Amino acid sequence: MGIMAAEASTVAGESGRMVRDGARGFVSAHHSMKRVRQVRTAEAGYSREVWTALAEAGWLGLRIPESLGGAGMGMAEVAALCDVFGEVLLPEPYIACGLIPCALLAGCANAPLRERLMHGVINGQQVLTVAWQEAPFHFHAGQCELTLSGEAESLRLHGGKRFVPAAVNADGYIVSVMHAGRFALVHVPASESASGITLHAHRLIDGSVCADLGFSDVKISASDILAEGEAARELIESAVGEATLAACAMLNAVADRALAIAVDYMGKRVQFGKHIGSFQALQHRAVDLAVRCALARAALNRALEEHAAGSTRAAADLSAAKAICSRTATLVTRSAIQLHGGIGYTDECDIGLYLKSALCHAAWLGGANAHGTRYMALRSAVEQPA
Amino acid sequence: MSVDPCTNTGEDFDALPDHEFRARFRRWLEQHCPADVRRPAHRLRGQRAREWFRLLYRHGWRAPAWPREHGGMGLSIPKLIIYDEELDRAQISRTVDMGETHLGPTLMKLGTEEQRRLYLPSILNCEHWWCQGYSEPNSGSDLASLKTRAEKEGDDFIINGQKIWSSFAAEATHVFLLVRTSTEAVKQRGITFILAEMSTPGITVKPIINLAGDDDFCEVFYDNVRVPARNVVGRVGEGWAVSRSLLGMERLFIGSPRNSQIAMRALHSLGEVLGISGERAFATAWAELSLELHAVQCLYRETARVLGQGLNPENELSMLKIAATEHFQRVTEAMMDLAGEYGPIGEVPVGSDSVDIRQLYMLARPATIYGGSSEIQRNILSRRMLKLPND
Ligand SMILES: Cc1cc2nc3c(=O)[nH]c(=O)nc-3n(C[C@H](O)[C@H](O)[C@H](O)COP(=O)(O)OP(=O)(O)OC[C@H]3O[C@@H](n4cnc5c(N)ncnc54)[C@H](O)[C@@H]3O)c2cc1C
Repeated sequence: MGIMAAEASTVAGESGRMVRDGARGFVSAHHSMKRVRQVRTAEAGYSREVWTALAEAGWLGLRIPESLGGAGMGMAEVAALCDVFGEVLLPEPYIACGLIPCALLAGCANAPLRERLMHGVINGQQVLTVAWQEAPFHFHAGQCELTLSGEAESLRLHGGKRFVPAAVNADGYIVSVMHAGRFALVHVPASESASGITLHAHRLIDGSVCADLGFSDVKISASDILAEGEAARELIESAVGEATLAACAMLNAVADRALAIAVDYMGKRVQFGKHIGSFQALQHRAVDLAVRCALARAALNRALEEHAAGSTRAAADLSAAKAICSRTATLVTRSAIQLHGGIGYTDECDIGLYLKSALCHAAWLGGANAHGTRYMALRSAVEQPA
Repeated sequence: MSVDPCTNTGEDFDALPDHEFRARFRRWLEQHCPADVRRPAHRLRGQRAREWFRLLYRHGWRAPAWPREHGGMGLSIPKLIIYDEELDRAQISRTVDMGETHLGPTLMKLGTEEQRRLYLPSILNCEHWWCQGYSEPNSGSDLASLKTRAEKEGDDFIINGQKIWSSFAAEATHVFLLVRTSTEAVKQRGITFILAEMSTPGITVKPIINLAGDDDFCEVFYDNVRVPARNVVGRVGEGWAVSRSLLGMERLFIGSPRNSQIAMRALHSLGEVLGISGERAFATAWAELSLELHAVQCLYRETARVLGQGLNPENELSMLKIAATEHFQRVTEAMMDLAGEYGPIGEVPVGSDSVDIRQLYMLARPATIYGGSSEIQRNILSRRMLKLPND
């Protein structure tokens, strides 16, 4: 829980509160800080068991329309959920393997494929991750170079994707491709790995795993094409945009919780016969961090509002939020280490886990620099009167 | 003092003209420095560190700041700066040698003749490897509140208590520590500076894993550890002053821009390798950090010069500690920020070596905590330098 009751400043209201309460119940039943350290040696970087529990509790389909078997909620509720997952550093890749693939399946035109995959994804049997990035510093999900060649019965995928989250042990990938000059999204089952998929895994600083994927003449079935053309592009841009909002919520939760932990420690640690929290230098530092947290939360709330309203400034506000939340979470968590002194530099102390999580979420889906630049480019949309 | 046969050659390097000294050291480094020592972003420790110091020793390049009468190179400040610059130029890995930087100079100043004879040569040839045992679980910034006790029993002291954060204690052969020998009204009194062998019965070392995943620092438990009274450095009860005589030097050492230089070079390589040097965000960060580094280097040189005149520029030392360590952190933060997806992955290949972004980032974190935290330095400066009221 943050310094200021997060509940008070959310835009989700009653439904957000329900999500939050439910998620807290889930977390206390299935998660502990011990797990955050354990997953660092787990091959996939998270627990498939907890993933299944997450699915069974209904969290994966939160944003899926009810007609498709989901809960039909909006991004404000997703943000509320990420708030809870972020404050306890839940390692399971809710955003990468829940939110994004569900959005792509729900929005795609290929109904038979959706029927085939959606159920398995929502109930946790099928873990899909989305491979769209091909180079560092690239976060335009609607652009790619990877080519799907051939036609109908002889489709072949050749090339690579990079930094694919939670790719190890995934059951399949949704891959962005160029096909006959058109952007498209295809489903690639991982069971085909025998026939040409290679995976080079990277363990990130928070223990999660991403991978560079290589496809060497992988045969693709035409029935596995989710979407094509402008529709496919819009679909993935919208899904990645929502994922970015969700990542902001995670970052804010990480920052708020790290500050709360530091403030708590300042009220307990005694040096020079006084609680270190009574030293004005540290009080001011903590207050400055609380101010940063409030600003980041406000930036995200604004971005959520504009997103819900579908306004012209939604994209600019989203980039502003990601830049601000990324900077804030890394600043707050590394300052929290300083406020702890030596103990903060140990692996045993939880505060370092918050720094590591902040660093990963800050770099994912475009970092502060990239989004800051994008915000400046889009700002004219913000400055026009509504 | 007799000079060990396999030793510092005894040559008077300080008498050489600056350029000649520089050329000789540079040539020596080029010819003799093993490849695994030329990894500036990494820290050399354990056996490898000792081997490297022994190599320096065999060829006369060990302990540049120690006087020649004690087996060092006896370099004056301008030569020491050249020495550092050449280490930096050759991209030598960072090392920590508490014997050379901390204990040796203390013994030269305050030790007995016997202590010098016993310990100084063994520091030089790395037979002894020292760690520092000051901090305790409840005595960090408020070090003078330390509680580890030493009771006199015949010709010995019996030590009981716990130290924490003792860096490299697990690989050390000896420890210099602060213990309480009496309880006085003023907490800085009654503290004694004492030396112990790590193999003494009753000493237990428990490494602590840090945020970089290394086990550099340790908890050290002292349970009825018997140490001869001749191991006390300075007078019993006056160990606080003994330890302070050390901190001046430690502060120049940790106020050194060396880490920042290493990080800047890593940042530069990253810019090239990732192809981002031309981008505005990179160029802006690079320009700002370069200017700041220049200023830190200038203050470092100036402070070193004042120290060389036998003065004690304590305010400059505190300012330097703040500026150098915070600059080091900012460079690693910029690196993490600018490296995008590579930041949390960490290792980026650079030529035949690599830059480990997250390792450098994590290494930089505690620089503002140990050796007197940034907050403590600011407290001291506000009173001592700015003479602000303390009521
Ligand atoms: C990597 C590392 C290596 C170390 N190596 C050694 C070693 O080899 N030997 C050894 O003896 N020790 C070592 N130390 C210990 C180091 O000296 C202490 O960590 C340091 O003195 C701070 O003490 P602390 O950790 O107890 O923090 P605390 O003193 O509890 O400080 C916590 C926070 O409160 C702040 N604070 C404390 N007092 C005040 C005040 N009056 N005003 C404002 N702010 C204040 C601090 O700046 C810090 O931000 C090491 C520490 C680290 C991190």
